Amino acid sequence: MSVAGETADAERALAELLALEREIVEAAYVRRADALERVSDAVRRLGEIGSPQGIIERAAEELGMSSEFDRVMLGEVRGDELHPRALWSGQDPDDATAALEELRRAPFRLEYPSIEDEVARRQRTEIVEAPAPRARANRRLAEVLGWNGYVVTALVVQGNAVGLLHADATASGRLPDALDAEVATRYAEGLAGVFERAVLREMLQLHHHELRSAVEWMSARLGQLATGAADVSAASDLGEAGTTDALTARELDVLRLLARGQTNLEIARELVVREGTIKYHVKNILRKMGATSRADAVSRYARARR
Amino acid sequence: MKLDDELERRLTDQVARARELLELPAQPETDLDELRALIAALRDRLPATELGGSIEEQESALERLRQRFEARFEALDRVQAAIAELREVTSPREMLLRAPAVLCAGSSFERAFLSLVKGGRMVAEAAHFAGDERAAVTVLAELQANPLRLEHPLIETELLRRRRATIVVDANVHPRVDREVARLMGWRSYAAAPLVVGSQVVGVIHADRGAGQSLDVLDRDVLWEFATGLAQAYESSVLRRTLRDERDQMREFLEWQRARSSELTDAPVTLAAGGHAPLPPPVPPPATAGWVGAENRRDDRVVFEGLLTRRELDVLRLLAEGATNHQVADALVISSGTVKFHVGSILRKLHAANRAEAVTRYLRLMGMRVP
Repeated sequence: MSVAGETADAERALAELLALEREIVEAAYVRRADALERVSDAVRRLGEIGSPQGIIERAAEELGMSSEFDRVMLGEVRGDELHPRALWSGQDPDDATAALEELRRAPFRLEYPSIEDEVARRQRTEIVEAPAPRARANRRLAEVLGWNGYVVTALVVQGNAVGLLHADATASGRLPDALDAEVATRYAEGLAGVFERAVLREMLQLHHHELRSAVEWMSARLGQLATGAADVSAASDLGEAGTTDALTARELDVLRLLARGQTNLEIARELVVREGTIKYHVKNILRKMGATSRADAVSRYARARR
Repeated sequence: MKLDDELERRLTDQVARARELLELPAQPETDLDELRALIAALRDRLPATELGGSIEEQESALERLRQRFEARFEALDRVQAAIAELREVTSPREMLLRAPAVLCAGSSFERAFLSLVKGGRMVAEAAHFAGDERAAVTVLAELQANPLRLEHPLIETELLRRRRATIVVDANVHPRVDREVARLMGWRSYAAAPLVVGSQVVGVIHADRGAGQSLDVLDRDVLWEFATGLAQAYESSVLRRTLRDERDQMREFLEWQRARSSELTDAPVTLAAGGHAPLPPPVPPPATAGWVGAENRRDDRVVFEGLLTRRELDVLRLLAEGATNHQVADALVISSGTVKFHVGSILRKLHAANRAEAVTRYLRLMGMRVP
């Protein structure tokens, strides 16, 4: 072949290879952008679950459904032990249930030189490719789950590794790659944030609830004290705005019926009085409670008793 | 890296052909690195002078593409780093005030300002102009002097409703941009994103690359990523702060109570005794958090799941706080007509005769005591 012909061949081949590289680069970009987008959506859906326990129960499945992993396991780190909490399998949900039961039989020890221990301590993500580092991978985990390789990442809340997330693609005959690690890491970060906020919200609610109980206990106790004590003139006529202290027994009756959504006429019938009387009572209730509407009166009543 | 089957087959084919051409031995497996090595080898073989212009064009297009892709992931990674930095700030308010500066440092934005949504208005709280803090102070003062009313056609209003970031490519011709703010900022294009905490939009962050500069879709995505991360960090910080404040106040009250009880119990009876006026307990400081009402916010979603839409729940929650239709409309940035429509649906779904009964239902389901 002539030199010119060779050059032309080489140039054509080069053009084709460049076109192919471009396609591959584009495909890689689309795959990565798409994978990360799906992770964000999954985290957002987790955020719509209110309770911390609900989030943990959903967490493995949500990642499984939003990624190319075949299996996802979520474990809780307690001291130097790992307690598997949830296992999701895209191929075989029944198998996952059985495997989880087997895994939960006894916790896994997080100790040197296992990969799990390192991931928990250093709060990072690792790609484990069996069989090479099998010595460092957990033997029992590998036996139960029979994986070729997996990604493991730490769930970090307020600087502590509170859990580990394992994921693999063994059923698809695939070893985890850098993108799998990125997906798992991003998801773990999102999950940790969602979980932390849910826990804080729950704590705050619990705190309020307990304070309310304490106040109720105390006011019941004070009630007893007041009846026993000589001074019974303390009750003042007009209470604080928003409370029902100032309401008469009749007004309380009206407020109760009003909260049930009854109209003035219905209340009048129930209490066997004229509608005009009810209007008069409602007006006084609103004034004494500083409420702007009937709904507001109900709302104020509840708020004063928080 | 995983390729789809068709691409994988073509890669194998073309690599084999190129190896043949270069008189290299065949290889069973191949990958992208191999492809790149062959491209370099072919390139070396061709005399530079005889290289067609189309090859060079192809190469530079590929390079540009690769850079564009990398820029995207890099930009999003930098946002994550910026959020991690903000998470270190413990005070919720301080976190918001620092956000514009941290955003500019961790992105290609040059100017940013953050506003809070208060009573249907957008009140600017902090601004950062890279390299021109004096201008930032001036603009912030002007923005604060005339808080933007969040009314119907404005793009910011739409933003609160949709809860997504947006960009305005050309502010001069965009019909829904506020003229005053656009003039003040000298905007050509800008990006804006809502700060969504729980089910509530608490604020908006605006950013641009300087007066007269244009932005693209990546900028919008970067800002949205930042706004989402900031809102989450802010919520965590508010919750933590609220819990701590409550603990402190409770502790202070209990200590006062114990001391006072001891004082009264142990006081010796003297001739000077008697005539004690009751001492009020210490007054707790006002709540420090800008965003309150963290309790219930998620829980009611669970309670009303499948019964009310998210929007209906937003409306009902406000009604239960004693809001009028008008106040609900202001808070959710919707019209009174829409509020009335939602209230109608709520009454129907809860089988409530009127608003009072709907509020009773809500409060009872949320475990509160009702008359």
